[in-house]
Amino acid sequence: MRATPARRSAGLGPRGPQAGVSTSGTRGAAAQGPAPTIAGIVFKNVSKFYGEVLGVNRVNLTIPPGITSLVGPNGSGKTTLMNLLAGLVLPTRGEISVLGIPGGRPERLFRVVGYCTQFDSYPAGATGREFLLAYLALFGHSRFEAIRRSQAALDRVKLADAADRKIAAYSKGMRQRIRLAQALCHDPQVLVLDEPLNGLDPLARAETIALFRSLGAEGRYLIISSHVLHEVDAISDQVIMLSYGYVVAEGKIHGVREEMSDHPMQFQVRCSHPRELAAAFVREPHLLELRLLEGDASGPAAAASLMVTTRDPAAFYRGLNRLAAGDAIPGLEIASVAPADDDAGSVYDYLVGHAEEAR
Amino acid sequence: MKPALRQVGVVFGRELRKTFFARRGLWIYLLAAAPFLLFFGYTIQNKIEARQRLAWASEQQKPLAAADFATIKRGMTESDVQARLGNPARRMMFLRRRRAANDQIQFVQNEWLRYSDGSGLYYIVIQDGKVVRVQTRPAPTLGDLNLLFATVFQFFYLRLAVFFGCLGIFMNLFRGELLDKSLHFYFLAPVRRELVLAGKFLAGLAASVVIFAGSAALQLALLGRVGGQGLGHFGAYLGVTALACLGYGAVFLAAGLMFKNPIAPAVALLLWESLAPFLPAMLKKLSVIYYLTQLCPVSVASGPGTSPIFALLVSAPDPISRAAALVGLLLLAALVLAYSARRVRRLEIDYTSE
Repeated sequence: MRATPARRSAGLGPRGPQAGVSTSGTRGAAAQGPAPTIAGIVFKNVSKFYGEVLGVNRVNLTIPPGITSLVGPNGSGKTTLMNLLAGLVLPTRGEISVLGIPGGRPERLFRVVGYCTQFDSYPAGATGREFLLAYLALFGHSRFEAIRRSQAALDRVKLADAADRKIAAYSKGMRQRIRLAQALCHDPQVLVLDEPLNGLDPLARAETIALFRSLGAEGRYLIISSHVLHEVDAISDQVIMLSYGYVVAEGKIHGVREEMSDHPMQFQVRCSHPRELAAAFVREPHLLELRLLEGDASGPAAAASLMVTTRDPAAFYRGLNRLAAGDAIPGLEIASVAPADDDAGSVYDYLVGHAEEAR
Repeated sequence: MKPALRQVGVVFGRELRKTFFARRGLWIYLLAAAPFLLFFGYTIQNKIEARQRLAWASEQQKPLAAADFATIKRGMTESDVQARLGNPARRMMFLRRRRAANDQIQFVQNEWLRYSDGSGLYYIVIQDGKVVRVQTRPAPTLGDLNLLFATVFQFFYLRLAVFFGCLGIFMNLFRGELLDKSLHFYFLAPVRRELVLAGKFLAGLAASVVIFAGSAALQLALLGRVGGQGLGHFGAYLGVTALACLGYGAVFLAAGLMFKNPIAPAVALLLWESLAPFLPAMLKKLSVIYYLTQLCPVSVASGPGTSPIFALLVSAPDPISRAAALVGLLLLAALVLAYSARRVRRLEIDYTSE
């Protein structure tokens, strides 16, 4: 079993069982959607073992509204965490509550939770619409209401045209979308989406990401698992990083990166005189590495850029400002300065690398 | 309608369709149809023999009674037989090959003389000109039919057909969905799991009762045991079949929640049910067949010509009243279902381990 790496968090108060992934800054949250609740989604010291095999261990989380991504490679515990939330598996230890609803109450839980699983199984011979109607029938809706809701969900996932075709004839992407429609059709406040972009073509991916953003902006809770890290950057308000069943970091991705003060940070500086800038920087004590990157010949100011690796980002910014404001480099124009390694992939690599070193 | 009842109704409807039209359940229909086919063949044979009785009685030289055949003894010659019974209705001659003491092949002349007294067929077998035996095929009486049906019902239908049919139907309700990776459909809906269990169980019960009680009804109708005096038996057999589906259904539903492989519980339960007559009185009450045998309208154990071992297997050594048997069976099913309800609340969906 792996050692627990030091857990990172960002934008948070004191840690503890009630501490959250992020308590502020959700993208446009609570604008118009369902009424906000006080409890959120809470994992209190939750562990799950499958016999001797660890699913997740000692998870303490409070997930706020907005889009939260679960990040980690296969087997890191993402699906286990989602299944625990949905009650499909039971915690070996600890407690889970969703908007104040404790575990073991599916009759209440699934009024507010929609779960888009990876399970690719449907009633034999059913069309997409029949599948949704059968699911909505379990909610006790009238036939009319079920038809209305299923149509709305089909429209939302852009599957209305294929709604009356048999699911068996659907492509992988369409089956993914009908599962998404199933999760959405009862208008839940919490959406749990297990690898929801799998099998979607680029256009459908873009549409689905836009859908997630609009759902997040409505103040809903979206919990999305993904091992495609650049998608996580595009979607998430906050991330939960998992490795071997442990939460290794949580919070807003940029915040998590900033908290990693013991790990050097990389910046890409696009400017008019990268060589001169490199020469000016080279004597700075915080500097670890400088690299000149060949730029795009057609680009004007960003013809080339400088990659700076520093152990003190604050000192780097101070030095850069001094150079930009002074006349040490005549004609220096800085087009952009951007952190180059605060994406989810880099952060995850650093953290899991940490875990490997600690082991 | 109350929301919970409506939810049970939705689960019931879906599961009923699935159970009736499941491809993997085709063998259950064959199992239910097996005794029907057996009785169908038996009825046809009876009809053929009834026609033969009439035909032979009119074709033989004189009318005969059972007493006439009682006078035919082993060792009599063919002419002795014909002197007493007259010319037979049919005569069949053939040669049979036989190995003699000196290892030589011999051909022995065989002759069958066929008579009828109107209510039975008689075959007088003559070998080398001497009577060797008299075979009789009497027309079946009402008692024979009752006993035949009771034997097939108790020994094959209840213990094997309904038993394995319920295994196929009820174990499939949860285990089959886990294998198909489709159980999450219900478990991700706002339905109490006990209600899912109730809907599934009722669907399994309805399907099994329709299949097995339907087959039993057809079997009885085929034997002409539906109207008149047979009506009581008809109702009783259908009731016992329905109770068997209830009892075995509850047991196999629980087994489906407990075991991944149906073979082990099936074999264990079959052994348990078969050993029920030998179990102590207290343990007998934990077997479904113990109650069912007491509710059957005809006792097979007391039938003429029943072997002692067979009689023991189908007997109820610690008899209780029918009302007590009914209550006992319902109680047993209720206890097992209550256990299943507890179990289903803790059921985890982990398709990877299936």
